[in-house]
Amino acid sequence: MIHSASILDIANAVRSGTVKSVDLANAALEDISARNSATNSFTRVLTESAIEAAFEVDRKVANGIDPGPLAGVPFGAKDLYDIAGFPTTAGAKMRIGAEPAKRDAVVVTRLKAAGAVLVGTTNMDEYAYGFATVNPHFGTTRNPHDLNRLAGGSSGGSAAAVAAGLVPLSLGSDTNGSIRVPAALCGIWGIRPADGAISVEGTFPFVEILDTVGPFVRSAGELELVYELLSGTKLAVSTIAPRIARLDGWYARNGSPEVLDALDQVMAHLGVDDVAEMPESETARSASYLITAAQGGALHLETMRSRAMEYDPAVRDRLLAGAMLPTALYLKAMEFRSFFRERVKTLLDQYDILIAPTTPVVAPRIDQATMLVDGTPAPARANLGLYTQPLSLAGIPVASAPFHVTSGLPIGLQFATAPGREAMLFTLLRELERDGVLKTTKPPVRLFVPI
Amino acid sequence: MNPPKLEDRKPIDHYRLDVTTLLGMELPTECVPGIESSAELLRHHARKVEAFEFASNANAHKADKA
Repeated sequence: MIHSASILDIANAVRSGTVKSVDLANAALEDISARNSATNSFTRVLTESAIEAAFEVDRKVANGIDPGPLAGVPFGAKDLYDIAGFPTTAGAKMRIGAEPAKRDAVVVTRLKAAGAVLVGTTNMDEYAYGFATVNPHFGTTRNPHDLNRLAGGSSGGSAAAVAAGLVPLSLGSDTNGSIRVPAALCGIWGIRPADGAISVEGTFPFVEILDTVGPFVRSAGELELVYELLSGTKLAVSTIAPRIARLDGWYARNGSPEVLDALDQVMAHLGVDDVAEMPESETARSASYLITAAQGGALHLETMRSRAMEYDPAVRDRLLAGAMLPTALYLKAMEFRSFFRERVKTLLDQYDILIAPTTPVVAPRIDQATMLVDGTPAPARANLGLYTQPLSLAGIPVASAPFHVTSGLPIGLQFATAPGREAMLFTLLRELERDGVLKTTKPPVRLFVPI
Repeated sequence: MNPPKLEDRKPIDHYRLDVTTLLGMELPTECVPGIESSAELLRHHARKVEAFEFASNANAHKADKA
């Protein structure tokens, strides 16, 4: 059931007593035990607490109490969420022995309150600094669509777990694209909320002014439902025809033909030929890079002074380089951020929804070192965030939705809107899914065979 | 070529890697290439931010809005 059933179907079956939550939890735990080694999605399986929580859901149903809209839905949480009683590892070996969290992160609490059952924590780049989920301590997470390819990062474990059908729902975090990139490469749905729309309390920080948290799911309706639960808002169906444009300029540069063709097809289906320029997006990406390195470096400086050699070397290199960045440059990047947000706000006065590719290419091979950026070989992993980083700096809500591919690897598209217009965004996504333009890409059937 | 005078220097000219001073300890020499490579990527992005001129772009923004 968990492989393909929707969150709503699962919850309805549990709420009606047709299916026991404990049976679902057991099935999910057995499935993870049998198949996780293929993708390396989970870092920790919480068998005891999951079974206990599932029994509690069943007890409520037996006593005529509604367990909530996510009754019995198994979910995973990225390794940077506080889970009461466990150290918040954040993908770092040095934190395995850290003091256990006293309480769950706010959004974990919200999902549990809605009846969902936490079954484990998922793999990530160390301290969320990467787009690959290649972790020297916890291993590389592999893409369910092709095990020789990247799942994306830094929330790669959460995305791969949902794409592989191990769980129907997971939580990730998005600082520079860490939900949208893996959602795109794994062929599922994810959303980076507007700044402050969903609480980050109880998550291990990376870059305070850019950090957001959000879900991975397998349909537009589920994305909206979980977004509502996490943000504590109830969105109405939007009846206003949105003003839509495709982002040009930076977002059309460096895209592979298949990715740009997918975007063409979506625009053709919508019957929209408006093209908008988000000015200075290239500089926005650079500013986001500098702010990330400087803030991340500052956050880790004290720890690096005593434990530098315990870091993932690639992450340590970035943090050290960031910690030495001249303050004047950091301040200019921050000043640019304010400027850019105003420019984006002006653009969103003209348009309701802006559409762009999520990544310039489909999932790269794990051993692929470079890709072409402006005709020059550049690091492949670092450039997966080419199109997501400027939108992070803008602080606006952006969903990554899977284009309906009939063959080949998944392609993700970003749908951005202004804060407060999320209802319009979700309405459009549901319509495009209904029309068959957007659709979760299922991995090859052979990957569902227990390994 | 002579280095630029201090007053002519841009912030990127002040970007120097001194890991030993920063950490108060020396890292093994095999760590150096990785840090330099990360710093080079940051220099690339820093130059773009540094080259950005708020005044001229603000005027363009006003023109856009008009």
